[in-house]
Amino acid sequence: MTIDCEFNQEFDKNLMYQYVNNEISVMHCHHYATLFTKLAMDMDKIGGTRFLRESMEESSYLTLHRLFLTQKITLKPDKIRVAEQYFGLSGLGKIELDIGSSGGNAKMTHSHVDDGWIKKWKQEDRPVNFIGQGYIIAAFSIINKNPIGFYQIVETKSIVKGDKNSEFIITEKKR
Amino acid sequence: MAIDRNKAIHDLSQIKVKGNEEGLIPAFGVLVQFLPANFWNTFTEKMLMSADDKHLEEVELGLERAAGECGYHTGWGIINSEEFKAIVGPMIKKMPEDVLHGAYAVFSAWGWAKCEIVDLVPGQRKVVRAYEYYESKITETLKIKKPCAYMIKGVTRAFMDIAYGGEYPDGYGCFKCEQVKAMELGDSYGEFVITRK
Repeated sequence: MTIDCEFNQEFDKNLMYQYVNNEISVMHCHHYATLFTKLAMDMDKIGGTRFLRESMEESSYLTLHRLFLTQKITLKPDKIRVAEQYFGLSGLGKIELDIGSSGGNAKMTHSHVDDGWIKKWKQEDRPVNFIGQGYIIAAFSIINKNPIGFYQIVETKSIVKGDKNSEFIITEKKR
Repeated sequence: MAIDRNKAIHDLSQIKVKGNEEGLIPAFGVLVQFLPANFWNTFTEKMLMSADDKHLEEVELGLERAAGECGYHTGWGIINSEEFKAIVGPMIKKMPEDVLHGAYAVFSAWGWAKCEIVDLVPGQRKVVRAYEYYESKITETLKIKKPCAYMIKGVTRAFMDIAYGGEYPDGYGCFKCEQVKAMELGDSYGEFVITRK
């Protein structure tokens, strides 16, 4: 039986928080995401892009962990499918994950950050999707039962640069 | 104020949002994403922790600017959306003040903050109180020395730009916002004073 990702949106009328799968969540637009990204790039001298990628990795690791637990998802193919679906349901784009034991690949055919960046500023000559990168390495870590920070990622093709898809290579960090 | 705030929040909060077949959420003239609040707070925390005195102002301005442009463009899209017109539209008696109050129903319904306008001098000044907001939760992991609700600051001044800044899209940046109370510093609510630049 195929398992589909739950995406239950609820509103707490007292505190006025929106929840997705019981986690406080918030809707923001591509202006917000791309300006956070631009800030991260402008402030790379203090670690901006790494912070953006790591923030998404830490957040998504917990989100996917809870999702797998509550939906009782134990098989790797189901986890991959649900991680791909959650990415799309949250509006981040369409992703395919190819997760091997020591690394793998990912491909995005649509990307909130890339499409949003192009909408706001046109193309860019370097990758900008640090949010997506963080999500991908979080998925690799949680699905392969590794800790946060286990993987590194390189974006080899980018929608924002004019490529048809964004593509990523994921490998273990050298220790 | 003619806006029935509770009804508007209730109805607006029931709008369900999730990605389409392309994994995107095109709505209100922008692309929307629906992410855990702790992601945004974690990035803010990492940036604040790492910025020395030389870079802190640039970080703070960048965080507020992100929200300002979000609030201006998405806010404009929202108040011109079919959903807003259907839910808030029938309550509007006075322009643009009732639209502004309606926008704060969206602010609350979207989970940005439980907040409302407590004082408004049309075209000049606005005071907003937030009784619950996700940015205040940054104190769960970071000890801060000054208010850090950059998202509310940016969005709430942008709403004044929409109402009184002139014709869209040329009215952005006419107002500034100061956060004078902060739950993240122990106050019982956050308070934001918006005035013309």
